[in-house]
Amino acid sequence: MGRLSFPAIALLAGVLLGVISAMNALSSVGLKPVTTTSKWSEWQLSGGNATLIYSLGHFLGDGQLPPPKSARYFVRSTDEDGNSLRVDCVYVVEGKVTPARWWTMSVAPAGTLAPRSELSAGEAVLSQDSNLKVTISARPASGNWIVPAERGGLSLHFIVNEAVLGQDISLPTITKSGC
Amino acid sequence: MGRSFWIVVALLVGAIVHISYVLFAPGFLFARQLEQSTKGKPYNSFFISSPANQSALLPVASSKSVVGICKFDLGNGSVELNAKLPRSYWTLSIYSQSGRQVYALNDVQAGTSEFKVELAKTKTFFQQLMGNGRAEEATQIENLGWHAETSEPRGIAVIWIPIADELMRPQIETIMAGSTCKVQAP
Repeated sequence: MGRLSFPAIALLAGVLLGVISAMNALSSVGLKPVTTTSKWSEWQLSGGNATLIYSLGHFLGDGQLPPPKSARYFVRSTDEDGNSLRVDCVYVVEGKVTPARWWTMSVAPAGTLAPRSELSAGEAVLSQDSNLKVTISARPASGNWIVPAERGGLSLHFIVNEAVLGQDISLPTITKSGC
Repeated sequence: MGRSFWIVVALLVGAIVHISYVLFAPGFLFARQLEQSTKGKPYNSFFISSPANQSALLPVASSKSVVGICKFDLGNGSVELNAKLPRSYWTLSIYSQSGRQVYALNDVQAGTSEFKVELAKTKTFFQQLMGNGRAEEATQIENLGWHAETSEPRGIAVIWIPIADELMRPQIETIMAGSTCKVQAP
């Protein structure tokens, strides 16, 4: 087989560049930090957003329907210190209860969408001052408890359905309490 | 021709491939996944998804939800979704086959737990110009109920009901099982 000519190599490189950049863009372009200092990011799912096509493509490419337009989808993969979430550590998620008709908090292996374990508005136990405290741990914990995936990195997903209009969504903090 | 010419061509090809991939690949992958996860379920029928399948298909639907699905095909005419739901929080989302959400409704907006939604194909520009096709406009509320249109002939309507207690599932599934999804009589 003869050597490929420069034009053929250039065209092949162009195709590869297009595919790789598209796959990379689908997994990241639609995900924007909530604020410049926040560890939480949000999938941009509202209409009129320039990155909407990438957000929708991210879910569709994974074989999932995009969340409804009435939902807000937050995700993070680091704790308050900026360290990656790990299965072999114990984390405490704390924050105000979000004013919404329903919410779901779940953990999934890093880089995936499929939740392994979750806690929802209907089953969460709140403190007397209506605060939410959740333990993410492979071992049983008292109170609200989410079991992480079997091994590797973690991401925490927080989906808020039909948040109360005019009220900010309060996103909880996540602190490592041990490994 | 010089190498710089072919580098410019490669960059242009890369940009075209990037745009094409982002626009078409996710929809194609989703349509294939949808066929697999609803295999054996005929079009224009209503069924309740298994807890394992529902979270794979819908990220908001954890295993602690009840999800009813109407996989529709408008090839033989408009489809009527006749929903019977419990008096609780629920959402109805209608997606085209490529995953675009074309319609949404919830319990507060509906004001009732029993309703009908007519799913129809979007009229072409020529049909609109000629006044051909049905008289009612999209989203108009008429005696039938609600009306939704999609430009793609196939799609999926998803009813999602989150549940606080797994013990409530049989009761909710029994009520939801009374829902139907069928081609409208001419």
